[in-house]
Amino acid sequence: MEELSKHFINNNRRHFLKKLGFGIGGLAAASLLDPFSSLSGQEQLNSSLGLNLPHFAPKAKRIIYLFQSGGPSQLELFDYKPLLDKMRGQDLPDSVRKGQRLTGMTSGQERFPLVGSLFKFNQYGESRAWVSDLMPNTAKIVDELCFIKSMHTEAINHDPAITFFQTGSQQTGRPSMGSWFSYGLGSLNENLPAFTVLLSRGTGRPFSQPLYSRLWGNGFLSSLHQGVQFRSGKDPVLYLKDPEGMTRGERRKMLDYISELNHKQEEEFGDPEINSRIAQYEMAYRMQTSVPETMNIDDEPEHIIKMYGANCTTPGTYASNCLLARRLVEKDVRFVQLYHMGWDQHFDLPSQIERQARDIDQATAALILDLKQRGLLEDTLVVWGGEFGRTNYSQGTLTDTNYGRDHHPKCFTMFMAGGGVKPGFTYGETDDFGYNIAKDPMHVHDLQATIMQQMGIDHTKFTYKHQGRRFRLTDVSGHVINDILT
Amino acid sequence: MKVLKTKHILTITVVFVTVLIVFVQPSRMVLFLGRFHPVILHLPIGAIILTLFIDIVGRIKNNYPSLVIQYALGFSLVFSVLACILGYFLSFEGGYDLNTLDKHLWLGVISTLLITGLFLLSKSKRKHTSKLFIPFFVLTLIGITITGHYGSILTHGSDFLTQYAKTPVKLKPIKQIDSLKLFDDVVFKILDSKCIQCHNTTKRKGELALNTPENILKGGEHGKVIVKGNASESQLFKSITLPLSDDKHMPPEGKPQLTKEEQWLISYWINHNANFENKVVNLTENDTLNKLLEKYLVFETHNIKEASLSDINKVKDVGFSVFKLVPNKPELSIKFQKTELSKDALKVLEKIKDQIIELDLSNTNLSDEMTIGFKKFKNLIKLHINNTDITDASLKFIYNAKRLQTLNLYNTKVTNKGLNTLLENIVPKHIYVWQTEVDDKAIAMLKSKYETVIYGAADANFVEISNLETPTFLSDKNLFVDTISVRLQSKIKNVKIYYTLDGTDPDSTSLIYQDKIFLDRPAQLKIRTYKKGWLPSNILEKKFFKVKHQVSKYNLVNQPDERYPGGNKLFDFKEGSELFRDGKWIGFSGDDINATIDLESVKTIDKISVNCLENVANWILFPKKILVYSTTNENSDFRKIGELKINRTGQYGNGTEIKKYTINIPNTKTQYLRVVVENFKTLPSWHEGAGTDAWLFVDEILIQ
Repeated sequence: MEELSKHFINNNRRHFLKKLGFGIGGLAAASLLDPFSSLSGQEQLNSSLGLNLPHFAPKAKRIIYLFQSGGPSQLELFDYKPLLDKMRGQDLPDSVRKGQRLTGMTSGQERFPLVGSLFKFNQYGESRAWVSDLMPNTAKIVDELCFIKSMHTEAINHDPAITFFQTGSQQTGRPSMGSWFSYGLGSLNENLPAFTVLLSRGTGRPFSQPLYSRLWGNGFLSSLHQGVQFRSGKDPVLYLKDPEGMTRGERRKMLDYISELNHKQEEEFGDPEINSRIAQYEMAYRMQTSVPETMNIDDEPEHIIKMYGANCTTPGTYASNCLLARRLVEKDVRFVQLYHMGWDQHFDLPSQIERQARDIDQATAALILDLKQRGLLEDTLVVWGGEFGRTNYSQGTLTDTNYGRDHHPKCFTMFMAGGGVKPGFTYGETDDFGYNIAKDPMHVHDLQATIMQQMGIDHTKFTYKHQGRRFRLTDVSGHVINDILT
Repeated sequence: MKVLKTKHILTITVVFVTVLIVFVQPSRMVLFLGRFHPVILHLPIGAIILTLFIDIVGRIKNNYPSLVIQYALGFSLVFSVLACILGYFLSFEGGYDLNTLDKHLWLGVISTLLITGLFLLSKSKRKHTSKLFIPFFVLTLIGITITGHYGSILTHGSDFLTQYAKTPVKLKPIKQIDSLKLFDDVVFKILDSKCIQCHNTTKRKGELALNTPENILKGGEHGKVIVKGNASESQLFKSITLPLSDDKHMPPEGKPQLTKEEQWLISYWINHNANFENKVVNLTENDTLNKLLEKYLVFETHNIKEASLSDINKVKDVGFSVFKLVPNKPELSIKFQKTELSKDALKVLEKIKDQIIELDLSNTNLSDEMTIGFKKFKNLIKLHINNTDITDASLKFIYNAKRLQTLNLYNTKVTNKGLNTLLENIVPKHIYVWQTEVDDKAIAMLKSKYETVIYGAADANFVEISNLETPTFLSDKNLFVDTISVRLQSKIKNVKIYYTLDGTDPDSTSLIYQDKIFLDRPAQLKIRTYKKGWLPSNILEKKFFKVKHQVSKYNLVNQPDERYPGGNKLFDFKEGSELFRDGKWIGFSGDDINATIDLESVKTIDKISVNCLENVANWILFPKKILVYSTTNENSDFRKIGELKINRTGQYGNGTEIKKYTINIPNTKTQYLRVVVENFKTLPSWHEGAGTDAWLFVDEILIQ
C-alpha cells in the first residue's frame, strides 16, 4: 500500500503532463532531428538529453578559475594610480565618491585619506602592461594575459559577493558556475567529476573568513553536478575509500547488486533521480583509482616542481593546487575551481599583501606557462580574480609605512588567459583616483556571459526551470564582451 | 434617412480633420500621425479576410448573414480610407524610393476603391450582384496583396522577402589577408550588416544611402558623410561613435550595434583616404589591422555528411570517446581514453574519417606503424599525438590534412628535419614541440619563415629563480629542561641542510645537518637548505630556551574559552606564533588565569615568565597585573612573593605583539606556586568594543 502511494507521489499530475508533453513527443522529435544528440557530453552522466549544447563550437573546453577570496587590492597589484601618491593623505573628494555605500567597517571613519601603493609599478612585455613589484613572475607573462581593469560588482561583503560571482545571485540557493557547466556540457572524462574544487589558505591573513561548501553547490540542479572538493590530507575526497578489509572485487559485486535493485526500482517508478544515483555510485567506484592517481605528484619531474615553486610539494598550498589543477585539466576535467583565501587586507596591508602575493605569483605564472607548453592553454580558459576590489583610501590610521583598505565594489582588476581571450590585452580603465570606472565597465554578469560564450553557450538560452521560473547563471542581464575575445 | 445622416457627418468630420491637420499645423502633426500608418493598415486587411471567410461559410451553411457582411465591409472601408490618408502623411517623411512609393500609393488607393465597390455591392439588393460578389472579392484581395508587397519593400528593403528563398551566393574563398579588398570585403560587409537596411535606394533614411560607393560619397540631407583621410571629421564615423543615449547615434538603439573592432576598421578605412579599390597588400603592415581582418577571410565551406550511428557505435566499442562539436552538425571530436591502442582500433576509426575534426591519441602507445591511416583524415583541424613514440616518419601521413590548425607533438621523437618537411607541405597555426628533438634555433628559424607559432619549452629564464622550500621542524617544541634533539624535514629530495646556533645567517660553510641537531643549552637556531640548480631556501629560525622545570601537576580555577582551549598548553613547551589562532595560544574572555602549580618537591627558583599576546583589533590585550604566591605546604595559606604591574602608557599597536613578562623571585625555595594573570577585564572607552570583556591570550608559563 505504501509503495502504491509512493508511486502516486512520484507520478503526480505535473509529472504525467510533462512526460506526455515533452517526454514522449519531445524525445521522439529530438531523436528525429538529431539521432546523435546524446553524443554531446557524456551519455550516461548527462541527464541533459535534448539541451542541445553547446550552442556553437566552443573556443574553450575547460576552465581553471583561480578565485582570490577576500578581495585582492587592485591598487597594489595591477591598477597603477600615481595620482594617489601625489594626493597621499588628502581626503577622498565627495565628487569622486558620489555617495557610494560603505561597509560598516569604514562608514564610521571621519576621514578617508587617499593612499597610493607602497610597491613600485613598472610596465612589462610587448603589451606594456602595468604590474607591481609584488608580482615579479606574473610580470614576465603579461603577454599571455588579458587584463580587465574595469570589473564591478553589486555586493560589498564577502559572502554575498563571492556567491554573486559563483552563482549570479547574491542570495544563496542557485547553482555554482561549475555546476551549470557540468549540467550543460557534461563530463569529458568518465572517471573524474566534471567540477572539482581545491582550497588553500594564504599566508597574508591566515585566519580569514572561511568558505562555505554551498559556493560550489549544485543549487536546484541534480546533485550529480555539485563541485567535488579535493582535499590536501590523507583522503582527497571524503568517504571515497573502501573500509578496511573490503577488497575492490567485493565492492564491485556489491555495487552490481545495488545497481540491479536500483534498476528495478527505476523501472517501476521512473524517477530520474534513481538513475543519477546509479551513475554516482559508478563514478565513485572509478574515482577510487583515478583520484589517488591524479593527486600523487611523485611523477612530476624536478624542473616542473621548480617552475611552480618548491611550495607545490606541500599539500594544501596554492602552488600545490595549481599543479593539481593542471593535472586535472590534462585529464579533461571541465571546471577546476581553486580558492585562495586571505586577500582581505583591512589593516597591515603592505606586509600582508606581500606574503599573499608571494603565495600565488610564481605558481599562477607557472600554471599558465605549463599549460601553454603542453598545448592545453589554447582550449583552457584560466580566470584569476577576487570578489571585489579595495578602496583608494586607508582604513584605519595612515602612517608612512602602514595602511589598510576596505572593500570596494566599483572597480577592480581581473585577468584571464588562454581559451580564446586576447593575449597581451587590457580592457577597461578606471579614473585617476582608481575609484570609478572611466571606460568599458564589465559587470559580473558580463564576465559570466563571456565565459559561457567561450564554452560554446549562449547565456540567454541556457536555462533551468525551477519553482515555475526559468533560471540562468546571468539571471536577467549580462552581455558578452566581444572586445576581449580573439 | 438616419443612416445617411451619420455617414455624412462621418465624411465631413474626416475631411475637416484632414484639412485642419494639413493646413493648420502641417509638419509635426502630420509626421506624428503618419507613423500610425503601419498600425491602421492591418485592420482592413484582417477584416476583409474574415469577411470573405464568413461569406463563404454563410453560403455553404445556407445561412447568409448579409447584414454582418455589410457592417464588416463598412468597417474595412473606413479604416482603409484612414490607412490611405495616414500613409500619405508618412510619405512626407521622405527617404523612400519614389518609384516604389508611387506604386504603393496608387495600388493602395485602388484597393480602397475596390473595397468601396464591395461595400456598395453588399448593400445592393439586386439578384445578379450576388454572382459578381466573389470575383470582386478575389480581385480586392489581389490588390491588397500587391500593395502590401510594395509596402514591405519600402520598410524592409527589396530582397527581404526572398532572402532565404534564393540560394546563397557562393563567396569566393580568400585565404590571404593581402588579397582582401578593404572596402569590398570588409567595410562594405560591415555596412551591409548594420546600416544598409535603412540606408539603401528604396529606403533612404536621412536621404542617405550606403549601398554603393557613389551613394556613400554623395552623402545625406546634411551633406557629405565622409571626409577622406579624416575619420573624426566624417559624419559617418561620428554617428557610430556617439554615446548610445545620443539621439544622433547610429545604428539607433535597439538595432544591432557596431563592435569596437568594426568601428576601428571603418575609421582605418576613412583615414586611409576612403579608397574603394585598395587591396590590403597596398597598405602598410599593421598588426591590429591584420588581426582584425582575419575574421573577414572567406574559407571554402566543407559539406560533411553525417556519420551513421552504427559506425559511431563501432568506434565507441573499440574504446574511443566520441563527442559532437555542436549538436545537429556532423563534425566529431574523438579521444582515446585508455593507453593501449591497436592498429585494428585505428582501422575502425577510418569509418568516420570525414567527420573527424579533432583527434586526440595522446598518452597512448601510438607508434609509427599505426599512423599510416592518418592519410585519410583530411578534415582534421586539431591533432593531439603528444606523449607517444611517434617520429618524423608519422608526420608525412598528415600532409593531407590541409585544414590542420593545431598539431600537438610534445614529448615525441620528432626532429628539426621532420618539422621542416611538414611545414613545406602544410602550415598548422599552432605546433607544440616541447620535449622533442626540435631545438630553439630551428623553432626561431621556422617561425620567421612560416605563418605559424611553434611552442617549445616555457621561458627558461622563468625557471631559474626558484627558491628551495623552507624546511620544517618535525616537532613544535622550543623549550626543554636538559637536552633536546631537533629534527628537520624537507619535501624536495637530496637537499643539503646547513645551520648555525649563534644567530648568524647560515651559508654553505656552516654546520651541516645529519639526522638531528642536539642541543643542551639555549640557542637561536637558523637553518637553510641548498641544492644545485636551485636558489637556497629562506632561513628557518627558532629560539630554544632552557627551563628549570616542566610542570605536570597543576590546577586552573578558570578554564579557557572553548574556542581557544587546552589548559595543558600553558606547560607544553611549545611557544605560539604571531597567529593567535594557531592552536598554541589559549584565550580567556574576561577571566583571569589562576593556576596552582605543584613542583612535586621543594625546588629553588629564580623567576617566572608568562608569555602573552596582544592584538587590539581582535580585542586581545596584555594583562593588567601578574601575581605570584607560594607555600611549601599544600594546606597552608599562600603568601605573595612577587607582583608585576603592567602600566600602559601611550599607544596601543595595531598589529600583533608578543611579550614575555618576567617576575623575579631570586632564590625562592618552594613546592607550591600560585600564578595569577589578571585580565585587562573591560575594553577601554576608545575601543570599538568598549565596555565588553577583553581577551587574555597566554601560551606558556615558565619556571626558571
